[in-house]
Amino acid sequence: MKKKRILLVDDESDITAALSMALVEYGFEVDSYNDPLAALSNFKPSYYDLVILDIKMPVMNGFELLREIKKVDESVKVCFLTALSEFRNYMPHISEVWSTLDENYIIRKPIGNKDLLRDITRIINSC
Amino acid sequence: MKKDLIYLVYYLILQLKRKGSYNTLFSGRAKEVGVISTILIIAISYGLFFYQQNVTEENVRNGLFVEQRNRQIGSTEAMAQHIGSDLSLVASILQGLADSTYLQQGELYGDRVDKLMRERFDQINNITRVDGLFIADGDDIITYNIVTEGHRSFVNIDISFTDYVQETKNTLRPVFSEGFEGIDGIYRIAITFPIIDRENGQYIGMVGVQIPTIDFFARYGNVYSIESLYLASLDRNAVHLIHPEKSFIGVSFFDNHTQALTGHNKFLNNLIRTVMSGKSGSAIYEFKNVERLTTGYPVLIEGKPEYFVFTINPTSYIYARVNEVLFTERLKMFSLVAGSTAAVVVLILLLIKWNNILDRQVKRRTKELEESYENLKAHNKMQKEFINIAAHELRTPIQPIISSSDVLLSKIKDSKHHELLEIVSRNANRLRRLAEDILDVSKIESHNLLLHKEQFNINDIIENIVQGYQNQIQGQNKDKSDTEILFASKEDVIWVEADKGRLIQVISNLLDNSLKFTKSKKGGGGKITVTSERKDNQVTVSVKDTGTGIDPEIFPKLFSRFASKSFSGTGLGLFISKSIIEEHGGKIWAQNNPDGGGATFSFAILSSKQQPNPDRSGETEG
Repeated sequence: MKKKRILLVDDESDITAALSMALVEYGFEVDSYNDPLAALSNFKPSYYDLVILDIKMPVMNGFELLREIKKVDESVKVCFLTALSEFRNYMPHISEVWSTLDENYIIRKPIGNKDLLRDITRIINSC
Repeated sequence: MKKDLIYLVYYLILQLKRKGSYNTLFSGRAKEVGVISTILIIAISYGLFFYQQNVTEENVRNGLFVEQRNRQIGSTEAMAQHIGSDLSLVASILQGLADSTYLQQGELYGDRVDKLMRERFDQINNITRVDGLFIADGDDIITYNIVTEGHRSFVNIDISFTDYVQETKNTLRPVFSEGFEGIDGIYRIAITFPIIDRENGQYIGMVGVQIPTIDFFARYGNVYSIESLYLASLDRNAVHLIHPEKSFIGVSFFDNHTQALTGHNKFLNNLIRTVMSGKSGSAIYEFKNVERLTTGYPVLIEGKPEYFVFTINPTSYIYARVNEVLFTERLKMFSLVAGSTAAVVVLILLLIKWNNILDRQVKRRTKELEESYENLKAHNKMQKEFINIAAHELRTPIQPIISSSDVLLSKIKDSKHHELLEIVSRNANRLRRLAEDILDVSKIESHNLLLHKEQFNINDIIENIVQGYQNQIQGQNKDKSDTEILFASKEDVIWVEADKGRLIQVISNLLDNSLKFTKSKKGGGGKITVTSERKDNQVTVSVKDTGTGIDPEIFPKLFSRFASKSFSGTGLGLFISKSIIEEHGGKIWAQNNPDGGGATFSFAILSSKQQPNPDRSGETEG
């Protein structure tokens, strides 16, 4: 069985490092970036099974990045991994990518590896 | 006075307006009511005052009038007595002459007589002015007389035709004559004394004086300073001896001429009759269109009324005096009232000023308080925001710790290092819980706890949670902490419409709590029983343990913040749970088990009757 591919974008390098290692342990192939622009320029369309994005990032927030990614890969599955608990400030950006805020695709930091595995498996397997 | 009153009220209102405290003193309708009632109160009190003042003045006026009348009666009486005593004195001098040796011996003229007569004439003139002193013999011929300058001598003239001479001769007593008019046109009275021989009682002649009535009576008028008053005098026949109305002199009061002029005045006639009967009297009547007060008194000589004096006084004069007195009194009273009013006005103005100062002070203080309240609010808000941000920021660095330790836990099998890693992992998770709880509290305190309600079977989540805890306990089961957790419900399915995540949080909190106190009980073991029960439209979930029970000290603040006396955990769990349940419209409570072991925590929320629509994902915020 082909390894599932995950793109992980978070401006905190400790987070990408730890999570990459955990996800690789669970048998995923992981590309990780700390710079959303670098992630975008190296984005491979129709390649990833799941894109995991941080929301609060410098230069370009998670929703803006998703907007750009969707321009090149409309069907890619995406979830957000964030420490935020409310998104009032991001409403204009959210409305560009989602019709309504969908909590099912928002995973709260911090999360244990097992719980993370459960959540991303659910999202990858969703239709 | 009404004018004064209006001015006063107007002035008051003007002052109120000018001071600008009209608004602070009264507001809105209260202002109008206040002004109107103030004016009414002042108007009514002044009205009453002036009414009372009028009544009082009327009484005082009447009293004063009576007083003036009595005074007039008094002075009339005094005058009558004075006249009487003077006339008696004159009579006694005449008696002295009649008793003198010369006259007794029939020596009715000559140098010796002349000397004696002159002495006595001077004495009499010291009492009252007389025109002449005369001696008449037994045939009524004047043998001697002294007259004042300008009057002619009556020596050798027969005066037998006069009434008083006849009367003297007939009665052999002194006579105080009626009025008569002399040939010079002057009206007079005469006083005579008979000369009677002491030896044989034979009538020798008489001595007498003639007194001009006008001069005589006017002198008493001056003595008694009757000033504007008029004096009238009558003799025994009611003939006027002196009267301001000259045509009355020599005429009887009851004569047609007099009666016609006085208009047959009943009051006046009665007065005259009363006085002439020997009593004092007074009457108010109108004469020549002027109201007069007349008082009368008889001139008594040895108890016998000889003449009658009257004081005639226009009442306008009395009223003028009365008014004068009243005016003085009124002036005093009004000064008092004006003084009081001025004092009240000053007091009101002071009150208004004080009120203004107070008002400004209150406004300033209120503003200060408002400012500090706003500052405090802003400060509080900033602090809440800071806590919110801090809690958020705390979550990010926990992520790599948890992730890394999780990976390492599966890699490192060396038990010593594994244990250390478990410590890292456990505390990272505790830190995570702490951050979550602080965030929740901050949401609760800013009333920002949003519920995402959906319909679900509450038994399902209890089942899952209990299962999770059971797995956890079995997984780490060493020896003593073999706490048993059971779930029992009479019904398989109890639907609720609630925030699933939040209810999981509550149930987990309660279980954590129970577990903590059950584990900490010495000897370990213990049992936790979770039950759910639907009654009517309410579901009650209870967590009963066999732990240490609730410390009575903690009990009152069990569901408040900072109630923790636990070994681990934030101590915020029960507070958050209570807030979540209350946000669902339910309630939460706890009690120590009556059988003595452990405690039971329960919450109740509404159950929903309908089965949920499967299409509905139920992401409502509430």
